[in-house]
Amino acid sequence: MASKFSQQANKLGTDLGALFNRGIRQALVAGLVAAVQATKHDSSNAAAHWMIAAKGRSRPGARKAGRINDWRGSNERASVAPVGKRRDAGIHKMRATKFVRERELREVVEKLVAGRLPETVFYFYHPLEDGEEYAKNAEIKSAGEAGVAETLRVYQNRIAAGNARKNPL
Amino acid sequence: MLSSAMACEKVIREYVRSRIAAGVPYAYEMEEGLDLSELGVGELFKQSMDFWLFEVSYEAVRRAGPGHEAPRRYWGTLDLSLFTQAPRDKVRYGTQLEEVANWFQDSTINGIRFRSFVPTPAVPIRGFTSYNGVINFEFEINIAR
Repeated sequence: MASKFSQQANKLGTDLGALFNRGIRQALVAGLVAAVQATKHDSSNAAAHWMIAAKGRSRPGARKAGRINDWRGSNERASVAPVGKRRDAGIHKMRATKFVRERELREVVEKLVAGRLPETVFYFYHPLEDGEEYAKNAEIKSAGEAGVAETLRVYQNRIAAGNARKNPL
Repeated sequence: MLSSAMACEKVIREYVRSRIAAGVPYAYEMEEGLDLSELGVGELFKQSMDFWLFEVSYEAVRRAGPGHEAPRRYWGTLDLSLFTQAPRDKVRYGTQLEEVANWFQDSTINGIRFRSFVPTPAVPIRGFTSYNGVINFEFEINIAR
């Protein structure tokens, strides 16, 4: 039987780990949403391809959302639900946001940000290449920067709030 | 005692609405990012006025006593942010942020016990600079069965 103090120390360690996990999780999702929102929406096709990827443990290019189909100029729709048609002027913005957030929560965040050794190095991935005409029009680069900034803002708030508590939760 | 977690957000929103100056845009979340003041300037990142963000998040909920009918205690955080396009001025905007934080910090509003204000570093986002801080709070809700 471990002593009272080592039990307390273990509990503190677990609680601190939980604080970091919660912080990373909230910050990542907030950043992803910010990136989707900051992308210029027309058909929402470009925005629906924002992904979270972790260093080393995921290959975003190999996922289904890691390829982009250019639907411009055609009357067909993408098979993914929230993506509309050209000149929709972003009427599917909130649906696309919800779709991307749920997909990344399910496929990345729930798997990699959990347990005692969560992944800590992440990046936001978009399959469009920087400098491509489509990427310029959809403002992918500035959207990615907005995502990173929002992640930073939320994460530092979560950690500051956790540190200011009398007991870690 | 409050009846639900949403009742807490209602209290905070009504309090913000009663205290904030007229003609100042504000919102409660970043996701839609639409102004909720009577000005109605629309998407906050697509206009140039300074605006406020009051975000509530819950960290944990536990029973506050023995028995399954015990009240539930919630631990949450109120994130205060001031977004401005002006050049960085930590003191000027930090002071404005603290004035707003003083509405809440170390006081009890409808049973919600707010703790001390903690400022966090400023972050540049989408052409704005965001001055941030957090205030922890706790409250209990009644479980009626």
